[in-house]
Amino acid sequence: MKHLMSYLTLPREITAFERSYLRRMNRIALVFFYCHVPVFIAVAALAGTSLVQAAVLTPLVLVGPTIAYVTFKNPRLLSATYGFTAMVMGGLLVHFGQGPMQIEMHFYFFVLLALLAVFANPAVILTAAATAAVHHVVLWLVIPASVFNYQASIWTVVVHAVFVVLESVAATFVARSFFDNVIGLEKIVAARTAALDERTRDMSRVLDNVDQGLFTVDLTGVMSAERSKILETWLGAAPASASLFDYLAPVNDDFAARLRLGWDELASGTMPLEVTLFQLPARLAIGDRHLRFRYQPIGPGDIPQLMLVVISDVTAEVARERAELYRRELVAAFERFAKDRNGFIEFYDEADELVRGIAAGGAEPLTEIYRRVHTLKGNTALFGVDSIAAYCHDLETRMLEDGTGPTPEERAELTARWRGFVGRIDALLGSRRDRALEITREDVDRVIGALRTAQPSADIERMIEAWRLEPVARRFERVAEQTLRLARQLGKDLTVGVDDRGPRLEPARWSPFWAAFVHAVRNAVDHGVESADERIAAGKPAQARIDLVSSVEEGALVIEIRDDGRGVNWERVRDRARAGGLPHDTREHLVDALFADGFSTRDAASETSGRGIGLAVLRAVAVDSGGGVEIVSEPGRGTSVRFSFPLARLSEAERPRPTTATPATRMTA
Amino acid sequence: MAELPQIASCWGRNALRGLFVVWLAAFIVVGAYLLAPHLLTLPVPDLGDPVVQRSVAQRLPAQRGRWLVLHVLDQDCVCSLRVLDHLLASPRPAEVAERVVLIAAQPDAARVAAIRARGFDLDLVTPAQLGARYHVEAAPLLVVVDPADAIRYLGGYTPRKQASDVRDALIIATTRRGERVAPLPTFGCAVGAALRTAIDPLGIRRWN
Repeated sequence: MKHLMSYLTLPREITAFERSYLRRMNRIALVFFYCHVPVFIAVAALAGTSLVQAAVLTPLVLVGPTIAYVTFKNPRLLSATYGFTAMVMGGLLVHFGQGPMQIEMHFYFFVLLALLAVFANPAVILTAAATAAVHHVVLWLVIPASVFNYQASIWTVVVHAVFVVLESVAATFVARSFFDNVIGLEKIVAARTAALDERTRDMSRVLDNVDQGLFTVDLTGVMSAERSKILETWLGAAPASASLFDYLAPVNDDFAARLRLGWDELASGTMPLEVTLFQLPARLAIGDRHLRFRYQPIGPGDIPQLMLVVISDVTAEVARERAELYRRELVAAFERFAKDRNGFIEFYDEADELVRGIAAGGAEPLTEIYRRVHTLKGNTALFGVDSIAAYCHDLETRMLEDGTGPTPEERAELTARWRGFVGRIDALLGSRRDRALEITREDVDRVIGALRTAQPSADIERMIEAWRLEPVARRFERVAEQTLRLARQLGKDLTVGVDDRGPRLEPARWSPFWAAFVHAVRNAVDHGVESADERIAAGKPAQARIDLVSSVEEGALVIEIRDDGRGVNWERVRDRARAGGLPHDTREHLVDALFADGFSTRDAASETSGRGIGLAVLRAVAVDSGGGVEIVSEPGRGTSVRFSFPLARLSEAERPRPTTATPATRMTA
Repeated sequence: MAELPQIASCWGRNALRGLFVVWLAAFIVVGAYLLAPHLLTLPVPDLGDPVVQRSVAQRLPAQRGRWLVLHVLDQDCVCSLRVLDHLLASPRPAEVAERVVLIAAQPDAARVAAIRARGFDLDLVTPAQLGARYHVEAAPLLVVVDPADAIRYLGGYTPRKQASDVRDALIIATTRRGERVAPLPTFGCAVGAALRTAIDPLGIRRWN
């Protein structure tokens, strides 16, 4: 019974949707009832029943629902009133439609009962059914039965009741179902929408307060509407198009362009997803802020449906990395300075000059700028100033791609980085920037011996003057150390031999040559020396060997770097020379090609070598110093790069005197 | 449809609600009132009533020794007129005398002529005369009297209200064969003033 009552009785709460729906239905129903007036008058005329009755009774019936419409606040109560009104209208139709069709007029009751289902309220149906029942009960109670002497058929009433009950049950079911599935569904939908809204608000709260940029992007590059609020702080307001590329372009056009290219690749799925993701740009610098981009595919397969983009502010991390880098540079600088003060000072002076030269700009040929940058890169790499070496590498790449020199911004950046390094090691160098004289005990003994033996003062003066010059061995030791360091970086097993039989040289005058000599070293280690496995496969010892030799031969100072590596692949040189339009018929042609600007047998340059600049620099410097350079190489056996300088080009102090040669030394990585 | 103005005044709303309650009660009664005639049958005279016996025994000379059928019809009653239309259109049984007792305060000349032309014996009476002469209060009413003036059938024409199958011919034929026919209920109109007032005190059914 309780279940039945709960079925027949709607929940107390009338939702806004139901109220709106019932307001509309009640209004329509009232109009529907008003339309009965002309219809009933017409029916009365056709059936020959009383037109006056129709014209008077029908409007009187409308009084009730009209009063209810303007006074009842509860729309369900108003609908119930219409249930009563409908039955009265049905009765009137039966009354006015007397005649052969009177039975058929009764069908209108059932039509009305069915129509009442639109109110989605069993109470309306029940009201209508109860009205019919009450009318019949009142008939039996109110109308004096004693007037009649003929029993009316009770079965007529019973049949009426049964049909009304049956249709009422059906209409009630329909009304309740409509309420539950439509109006009730609206409540459910409203509740779920509210829950969804709450979840959305929760999500918004998270996104508004999280310190990462979180959003999804579809394959056309359109960002989701739900995004972290912090994105506005970092990148400004998103564009109306919601395109990620349009969003990033004002901040960094290059980043946006690379991202768009990568995104097109994502959408096409030409490459494996992992490869494409790896190639998407990951770091974006906006002023002092550094942002890291991570990309997470959403959806199965190699072409994701969506990408989750996570942007993190890694400024602090970058600062830490930079601080760690600077610390390492400082430690390396300290180590170099402690081990080879003059070498470090010379590096410092030369690098400073290179930076000034690059920053100055001017009308210098591009090749000269390339050489400066390349040399600066090599030198700073050797001395562990990775921040500048890396920047020079990127600058080189950009310059070679565009074929233009450094922009003012790039010059300023390079200068700032160098000044920063200088500032950091300032405390280390202090005022001790002058080169120290390096003399051996032997040098001192020689002078003392000369004094004791009363040699001519000019000779003694010459001996002491020679202290200003730098033994080539000392330079070789420095180079050897750098060679070994480079070999360790490149994972090569190497030993370096130093054999100095040459004169001492004036440091300042030969500084450009030694700076360029670094390129020969880098080429030998990077290009020449094979890996241990390759050497073993070629029947060579696993450990490679590089010799630095200085000697005086046939009236010339010869400085040579020899390796027992793979040698020059002359066929490849020939092919590259042919492709570059260079002469390639003789060995001399090929050697000249090697020294040509931009010539390289490498398909891609590494940070160490491969751009085709180093050898060109070497030859230019050798020639500027009054000498020349040649390359002797046999495939599989090694390469020798020989610099020769006529003794006549040396200064008086540099020209060799009969002295004891510095014994050869060997250093191992 | 434009919205009806809502009643702002509390007094006005309460007054209208009171009127609504009155309307509700009134139409429950009115509904029952109008329902009554559709369900309840009209009274018929008692077969043993001497007035009825005497009235049916009044025959014209040509009607003596024959079966006599009385058709009591009210000119103002739709049901009676339906029966009359049937009588005028249907074949009449042979050897049966038929009298139409037409109740009319002001008889319709065309109808009267049609009845006579069809061969019916016509007795024009007023509602008051009907009661006095025949002790009949409602119409239409079918009376079948045998040649010995015994009333063999006294009742209605149709098995249900507003039916179109007027069964006079069947009733007459069955009765003439000597079979008893259960009287059909009388559906129609009250003729007598007393009866009219009793079932329609408000006179609603007389609104025309």
